Amino acid sequence: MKPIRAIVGFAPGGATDIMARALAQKLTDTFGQQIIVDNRAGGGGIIAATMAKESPPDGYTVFFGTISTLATNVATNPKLPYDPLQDFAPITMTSYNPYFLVVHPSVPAKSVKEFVVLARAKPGQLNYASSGPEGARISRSSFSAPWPNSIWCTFRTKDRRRRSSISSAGRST
Amino acid sequence: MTFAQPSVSLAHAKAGRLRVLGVTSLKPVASWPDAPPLAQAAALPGFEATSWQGVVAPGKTPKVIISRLYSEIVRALNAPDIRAKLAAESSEIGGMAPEQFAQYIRDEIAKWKRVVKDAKIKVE
Repeated sequence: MKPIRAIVGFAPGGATDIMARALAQKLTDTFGQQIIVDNRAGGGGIIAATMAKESPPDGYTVFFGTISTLATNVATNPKLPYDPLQDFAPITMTSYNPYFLVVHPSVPAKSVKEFVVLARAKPGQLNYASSGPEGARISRSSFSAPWPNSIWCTFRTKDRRRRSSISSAGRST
Repeated sequence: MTFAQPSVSLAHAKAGRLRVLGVTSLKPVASWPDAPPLAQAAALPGFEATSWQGVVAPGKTPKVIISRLYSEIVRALNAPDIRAKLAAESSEIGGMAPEQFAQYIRDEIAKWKRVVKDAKIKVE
């Protein structure tokens, strides 16, 4: 029987790949249909998405997409070689991960409201940590946009490793 | 402060090295049920910023095949061992129907386009 190919846009071992492999194994058992994971890393998932788009629409190809390959790429890449809604037929969202707003325990705020009051009272004195420049911009903009002039955070962790940025998250200075 | 994914933040939070103030999903999540959604806690109606994964097929795949794949994938997602695996990674289980997922993707594209525009984000 012809196997189903599950294209993953990231290298083996990443979150999307782990999810795809777990589901592929399960589906192979329960569906009685072999599913093979095909990792096509590169271009932030664009290579894999393009390959999936060009595959025959016969049910023997599926693509494990993410918020980036299926949504934010459209906003950030004017030359994206595919349209998530025109070129793909959505099947289901498999999983999601929220973000937690966290502070160092030394920050005197027990709730979001208290934190906002604190940030307003101490403009420029709270540090904002991030795992990378993209995350920082997205989080910062999405959080501060609804509250113009409310959150003033020192931005200083661009090149830090994730762990160190987390351990110092929100320590007030 | 920072916004961190559960895989990064919750171990520190459990050990008391970080305090969780809120969560960016619309509803409370299984991995840290006490975290209030920012949509309410911060009085930002509709505020949602989560990372998500989903399965799609090439555009012209027949609906009957999409429906079959959907029911098989949802069944697999709800299997106890898959649920346990997702919970171990602090991932929340999806499973929305194809039409809902299409609408969700449409909404997400519109939202992030707006964020990129409003925040004047430049791609490097």
